[in-house]
Amino acid sequence: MRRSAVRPILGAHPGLILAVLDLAGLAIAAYLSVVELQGGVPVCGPIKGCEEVARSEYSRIGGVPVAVFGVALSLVLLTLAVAWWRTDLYVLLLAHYGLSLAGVIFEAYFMYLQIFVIGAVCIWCASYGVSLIARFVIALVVWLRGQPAAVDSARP
Amino acid sequence: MARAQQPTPSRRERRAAERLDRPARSGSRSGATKRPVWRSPLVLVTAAALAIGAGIVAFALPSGGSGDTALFSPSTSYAADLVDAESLGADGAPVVMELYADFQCPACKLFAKEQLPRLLDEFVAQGTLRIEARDIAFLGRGSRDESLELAAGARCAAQQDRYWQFHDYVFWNQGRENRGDHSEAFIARVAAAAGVEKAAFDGCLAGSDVRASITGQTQAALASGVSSTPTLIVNGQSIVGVPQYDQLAGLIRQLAAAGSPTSSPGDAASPDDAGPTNVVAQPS
Repeated sequence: MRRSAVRPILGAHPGLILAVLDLAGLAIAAYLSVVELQGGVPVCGPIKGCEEVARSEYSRIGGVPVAVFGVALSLVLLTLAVAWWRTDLYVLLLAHYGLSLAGVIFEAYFMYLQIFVIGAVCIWCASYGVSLIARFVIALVVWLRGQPAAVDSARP
Repeated sequence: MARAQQPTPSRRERRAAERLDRPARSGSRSGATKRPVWRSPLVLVTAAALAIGAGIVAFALPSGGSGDTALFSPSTSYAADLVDAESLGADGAPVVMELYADFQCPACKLFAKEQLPRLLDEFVAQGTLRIEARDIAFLGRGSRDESLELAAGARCAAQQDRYWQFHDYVFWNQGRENRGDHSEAFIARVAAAAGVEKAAFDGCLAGSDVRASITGQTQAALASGVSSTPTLIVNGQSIVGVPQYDQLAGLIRQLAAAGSPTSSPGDAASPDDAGPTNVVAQPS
């Protein structure tokens, strides 16, 4: 099993940073899910747009609020980040990278819908998208710069 | 012949020796046994992620008016005793506002979403204001006039006293102008969401009278000087475009204090009418 020699970012293990970002994404998605499932609309404060996005037909996939999928994705990513942080198994980082990339693709599509179809932007959704992009970029950068130092774990 | 017995190397030692025998590497991806780039884990995972992402997007795409997906749900509800076909409010209301709108008009959408609910709460429910919808179809282009079809749908919904629900669903889900977004399937979905009984609605739409009546109303409105939407005629005073709500509310209060309406509903749309007095002009 391959382990990566991890270089810290800002003095912290990148897995820990990813886990913190995953937690932030999880909190956003959980809030949106609870509000949507209760039939309400998220509070946007002075920034308009949340209501329109929440009430649009694009806010659900197969009848399930998009935010619920965000919760599921964040939970999986959080698990991978923590597991990578604790084990340094690079396959976990790679999985985190792949899943966050898939999420970024959907976020890009959803942002397109908000801007060009719905005509309103939900700041919560945008924040989740930004956190997802950050997770994707960090995972990619860490993986790329960690490759030359990869070593085989010594397991008898 | 006796042979010197050598200790059996451990597995770790064998693997270390094997590594020494291999050609020198720089990193894990170079050297004689270098993998093709396309087989690197990063490329494979990226390709898989792109495929998964695209698959999710494809799955999430709306079904194009099949009726399976939810529409925007308007937040306004209408008390049955306030609704009479295309009118909203008490018969004896001192202020009557005629609302000229095209269902494809974005400014009309803005008015419907931002101001109509406030008027309903502040004036209609209090018996001060009655709103008379005057749908016109002048934005439609091409072989299928989407403005006309939407207005015809609204008129058919009005026959079941579901006009305002239909009205709100259309504006809350308004699509692009003359791009086919307001298809027959869209109108059917809106009607279903608005609680319209399907058989009677379909029967109404199948007739030609309903479209002729909308066309006639449009021509009458144009002849009376209505050339832009939304146009509000409040007790005979014309407001073109979407006004500031406070300005509109102030006018309604002023007219309510003055007494009964100065013109009966529908007069302004008559070709024989000299036209309303234009007191406010706001760009929409």
